Amino acid sequence: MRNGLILTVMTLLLALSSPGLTSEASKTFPFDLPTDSPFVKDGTLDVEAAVKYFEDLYRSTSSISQVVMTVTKPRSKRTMGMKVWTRGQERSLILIQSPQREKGTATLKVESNLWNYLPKIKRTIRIPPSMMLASWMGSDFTNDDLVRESSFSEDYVYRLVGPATDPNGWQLRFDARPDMVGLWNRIDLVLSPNGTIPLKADYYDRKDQLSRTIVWTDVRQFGDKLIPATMTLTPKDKEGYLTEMVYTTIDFDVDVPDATFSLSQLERLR
Amino acid sequence: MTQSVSIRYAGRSLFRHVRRTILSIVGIGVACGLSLFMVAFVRGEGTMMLNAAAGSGIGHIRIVPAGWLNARDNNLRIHQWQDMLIALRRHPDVTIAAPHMRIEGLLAMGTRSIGVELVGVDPNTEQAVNRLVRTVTEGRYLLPGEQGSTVIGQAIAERLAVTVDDQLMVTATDQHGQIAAAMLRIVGLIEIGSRDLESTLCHVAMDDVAQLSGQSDAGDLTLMVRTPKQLDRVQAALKTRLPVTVSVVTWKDIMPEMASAVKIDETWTRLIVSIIMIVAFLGIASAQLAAVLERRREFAVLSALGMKHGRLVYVMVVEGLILGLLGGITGLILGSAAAYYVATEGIDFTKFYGEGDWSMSNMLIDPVFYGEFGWWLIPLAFVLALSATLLSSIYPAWYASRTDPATALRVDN
Repeated sequence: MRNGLILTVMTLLLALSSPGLTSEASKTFPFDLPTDSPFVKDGTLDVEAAVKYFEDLYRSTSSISQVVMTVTKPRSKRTMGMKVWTRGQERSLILIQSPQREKGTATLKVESNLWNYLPKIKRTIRIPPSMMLASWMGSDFTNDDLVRESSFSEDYVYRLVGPATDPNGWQLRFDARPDMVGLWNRIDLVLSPNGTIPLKADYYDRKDQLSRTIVWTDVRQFGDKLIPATMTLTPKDKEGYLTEMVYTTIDFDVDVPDATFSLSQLERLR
Repeated sequence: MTQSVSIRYAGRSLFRHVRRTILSIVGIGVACGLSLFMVAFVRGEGTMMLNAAAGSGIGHIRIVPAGWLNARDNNLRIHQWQDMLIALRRHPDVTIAAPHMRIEGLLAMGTRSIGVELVGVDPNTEQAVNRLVRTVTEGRYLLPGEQGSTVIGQAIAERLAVTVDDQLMVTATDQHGQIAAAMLRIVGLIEIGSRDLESTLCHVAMDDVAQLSGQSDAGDLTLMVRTPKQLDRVQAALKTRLPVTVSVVTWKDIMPEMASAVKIDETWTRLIVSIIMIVAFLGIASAQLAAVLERRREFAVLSALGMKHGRLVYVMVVEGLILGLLGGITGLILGSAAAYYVATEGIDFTKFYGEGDWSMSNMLIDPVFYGEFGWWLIPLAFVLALSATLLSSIYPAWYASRTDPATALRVDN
């Protein structure tokens, strides 16, 4: 689907920008330790640096990307092609380009507001709070995933748990602060052995039960960044469902005018 | 003198045909009793609907911001509501006044969510005004001054797979259209027996709604009144005491569909009562006409002896009235016995329709229906019985008065 979505989801979940509170980097890694990683030193992971790196991994002043989203359900599978414009973390515009039936459908995010343009009825609809946790374009992502601000670094206390084997890498744990308003009580994140690539994140709800998992694969070079091109989200309470998003192209720091993120532009796209 | 002779004659005529007289009285009595029962049942049903609506949190009367009734917009608020609340609680017609703030929101746990109307309540008064929250199945109700807590319906809890002590995230839109969110700890679960009602029940402190909506004014003041059957009078009285910035509405205004249903129900009952009485009326008319035809020669002799037509009509009407009086007494005995039983024991409709969902339009209906019983049964019984017999006597009386003595007394006739 789009850079913005991934950006948001990633930043939501990975955005551990502000130095965490109880980070610890004293665990050892039992596998072959990379020698060329800036975040692995003396047999352990520099958690704060790694977290900061991942927060910035998908960030850019602006971007334009092409994404293919595949939504798999027990009895059906459909694929959508889309183009995504982003500007910072506050603004994004997603235009569905295929299939023909969905072509022209667009989603605009400006700060915490979300609008959908539906070409069939030629109407722009603002997404109300009651629809925020509804599915976005029939996928396992919700509207809320698109708009939620990336305040995880402020909302979560994070620490290095130790080495992970499924997949191999470093396991970090994020626990919601007591006063945090959010859906997730805890997020378990696995970073690659060199600490630069996200591999897997498990989301636990407020009852501390596993609710959904995101897996990142297919690491590719986009510009000067090495980024997982594929993100697969699997909800744990819906058997047979999953949503896969694949970046085909990403252009970072390109010129995207402010007018792109306006309601009139939303309705002009087709 | 002649009148007493006519009455005695009418009485004697009835006693000459005891079987027919008894059948007529029983017919009138059964029809009258059935009608009384129907009226008592429907009156009780109306009262039950009123109580169901009022007790389901809607109240007998609500003070709402002007324009709310048409817009039904939860963002409308009552300014200076605290002063109004104090005044209303002192009003002689008002027994309870409870403030509410309402806001549409979304409750979520992990990937599960449900849309609800969050109702900000005053825990001191809410359980008195809303019978749905009087019994908390698990946990407890909100405490005065408590914030960040919620009591939800069992259906919501099941949908979100949560229980007491779990934390939910609530999302809503504030007065500026911005999304606001908060965490709520579940302190109580309420099982009502209606999935519909349980799916909408979410009570929180008023302060929580104020924080989410960005507005600290109440959305409505819900009132229970001392004399529910005089709602129109109380409504008019309150209107004169309150500013024009608010409207005084009754549960019928809030739930017009339910008020219409009650009205339609009453209309149907009147129709059924009318049909019963028409059938009874035709039966009595038929019996009376048969009696007249049997006594054609008798009337011819009376007429030949000089009895005026008016006197003959009078005799027949008196016969009808005696039948009506006795039928009314019989109907009163039968009808009041049935009405008393329904008023005290009720009719349990779960025996016919099972224990399912007994809610309607956000109201919880008691599946045991109770009728009404009172002194009003006595005049109603006699009005029904006497009017039916009087009307049914007119044609036979007219027919008797038209009897030609010469024709009626002919041997070959």
